[in-house]
Amino acid sequence: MFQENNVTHVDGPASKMYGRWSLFLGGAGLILVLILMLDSAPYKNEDLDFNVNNTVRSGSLILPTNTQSPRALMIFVHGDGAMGRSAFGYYYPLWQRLAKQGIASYSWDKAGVGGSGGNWLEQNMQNRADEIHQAVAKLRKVPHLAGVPIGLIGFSQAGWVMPKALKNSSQLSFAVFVSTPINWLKQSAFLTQTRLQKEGVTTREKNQQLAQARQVSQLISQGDDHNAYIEFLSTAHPDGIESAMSPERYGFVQKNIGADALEDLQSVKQPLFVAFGNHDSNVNVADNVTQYQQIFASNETQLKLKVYKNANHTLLKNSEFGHLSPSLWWLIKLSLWEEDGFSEQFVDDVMLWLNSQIQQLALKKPESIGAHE
Amino acid sequence: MNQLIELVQAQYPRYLLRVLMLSVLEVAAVALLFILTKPYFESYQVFWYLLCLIIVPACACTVAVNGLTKIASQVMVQAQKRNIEIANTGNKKLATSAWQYVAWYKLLIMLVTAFIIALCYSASAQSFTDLLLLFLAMIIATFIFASWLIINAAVPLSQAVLQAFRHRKKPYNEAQSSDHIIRFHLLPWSLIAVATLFTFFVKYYLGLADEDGYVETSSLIGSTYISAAFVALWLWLEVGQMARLDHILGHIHLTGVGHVTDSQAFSLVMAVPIILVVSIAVFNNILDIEQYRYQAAIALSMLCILLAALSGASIAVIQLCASKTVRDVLADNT
Repeated sequence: MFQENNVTHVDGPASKMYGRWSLFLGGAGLILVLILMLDSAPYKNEDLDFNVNNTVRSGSLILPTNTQSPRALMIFVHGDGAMGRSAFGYYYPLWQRLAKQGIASYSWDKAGVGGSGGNWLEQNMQNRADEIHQAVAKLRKVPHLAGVPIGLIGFSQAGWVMPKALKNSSQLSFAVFVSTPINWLKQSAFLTQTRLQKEGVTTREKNQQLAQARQVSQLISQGDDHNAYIEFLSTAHPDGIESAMSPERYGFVQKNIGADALEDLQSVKQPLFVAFGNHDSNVNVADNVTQYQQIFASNETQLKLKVYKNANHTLLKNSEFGHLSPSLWWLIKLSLWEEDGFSEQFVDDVMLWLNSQIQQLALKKPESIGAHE
Repeated sequence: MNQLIELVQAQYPRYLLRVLMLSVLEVAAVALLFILTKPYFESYQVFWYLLCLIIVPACACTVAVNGLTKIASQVMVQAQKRNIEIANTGNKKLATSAWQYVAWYKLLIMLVTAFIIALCYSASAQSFTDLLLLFLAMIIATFIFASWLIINAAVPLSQAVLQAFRHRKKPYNEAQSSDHIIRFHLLPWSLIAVATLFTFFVKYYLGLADEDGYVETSSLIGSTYISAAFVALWLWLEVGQMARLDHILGHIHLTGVGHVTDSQAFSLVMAVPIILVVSIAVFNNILDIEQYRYQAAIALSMLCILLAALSGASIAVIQLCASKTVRDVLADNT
């Protein structure tokens, strides 16, 4: 190689090789960097199934990679609908954040969804609470999880499931309630009201439809079958036939319409963190906040309750996600935003609260953490 | 032809080093901008997809075009000095603009790679170390794609440039020249500047927005002024360099442009962002706007960046056409 007139001369093949080798080296370097990045993943995802009445529930155990023994484990309890274990990716940022704190997570496909057998529409809230106990029993057999504190984190409809699972359980140490209503009928009436308000119907029409909704609820409560429901709709509200509940959904609602968490919550002894969003259009936040406060009035330290600004029912930022109905774009946006999609401070508050609960438990005797029921 | 290939290949070692340095410099500048911009410093988790998908192809293309244009100029000078003859092959696929060698499929490969990098970061612990690894991966990807473009395009581009120089007939007329300027200078550089600044504005305004997603007008004016000044200055310098070759080849030929000194051009460039933000301020004052929804703030800033980019690039081209001295000196050199 020599320098002449500001041009470096090398023979052709050598410089060709030089160019190609730079690409090969660059490619190898890129792969190495990507492997290094992946190697720092905060959690590993292991399949863990359990059985409920001879049907399998297929789940994922999310174990933090930064520790051999997790500090705690959170069981995710789904809200309404056919939910897979990750709730369409909604849980990913929470799993990630929990794992960074050394906390494991466990979630499973609802009955009849993904790898799970059975049918979630045939379950009542007690069935789902029993599922949690089965899951806990299975998790206790996993090495490193035998003695760790186990908590619940549940969303919306889980508000009727978690109190049933928590009461009288020494295996469950704490719980996070996200946008969880207390009474099914009240929540249903509020939902109808909000919908009518959004549709901008006249007061007369609104009162008419609310009365019809009450009649439908009464019909379901008194045990009338799906045919009677359809018959009622065809006379009272023919336009509503198209959006009528399917027989399966009707059966599910009939099983659970009387759900009221009040009594169960009164029996709960574990500390609770209850979070609502001020833009929740599914749950009457003011009413439910008052109820929670009344239930735990005698032991205020047991309850931490917070209403987040700019948050909708999912505790995602209302300004970004409030106008979006669940769709592909919602999923893409959520996967892009990840933790930042949640209302400011929500995830931080949950983590701080969990850490303080875990620390308090660690100060107590080990046997109080669990491992006996 | 063999002599020409040898001449081109002889440039590689030096230009690969240059490509590496430029890749490091461009990505590091973006990384620093993102890491140091407050507020929202903590929340660097959100936009790496957007960041990778825009920055990797943008940096790779700008670095490659920069390298290719300089290799072609260097080869032209050396071929002229060494009297290397090259026949007009009449191959119409040969193009004299480096942008014409950036094919869609190459862009697609860049986008896929950028997406994989973002995906890996997304699956990582997203610690500060991972953030640094993300930028390192972007530097490497930029280097690989820029080198790939250069290695594939250096010979045909140099051949085309040399042919165009040897067999040049009349310079382009004003209409052809305008077409050429718009296609190969104004549009690509403006698009890259706008796309790059878009990632910044998305991050910055989101961090600045209040709970309901609104940004104060004063913040919009401040950030738009700084960004527009940066873009106008960057493209004035960049396009000024990149367009010299086209000017020599007669592809940029605008008549009736008086003499423009460096200081006059610089003053013009610096006046552009001032005019833009004053216009926004007047507009806000008339309509009594105190804050913008962050999407509107991004859109308005992007519009200003586009205008600043077009102005910066146009001033560079006009200065080039006005500078008879530069053209004569370059012609003598060749």
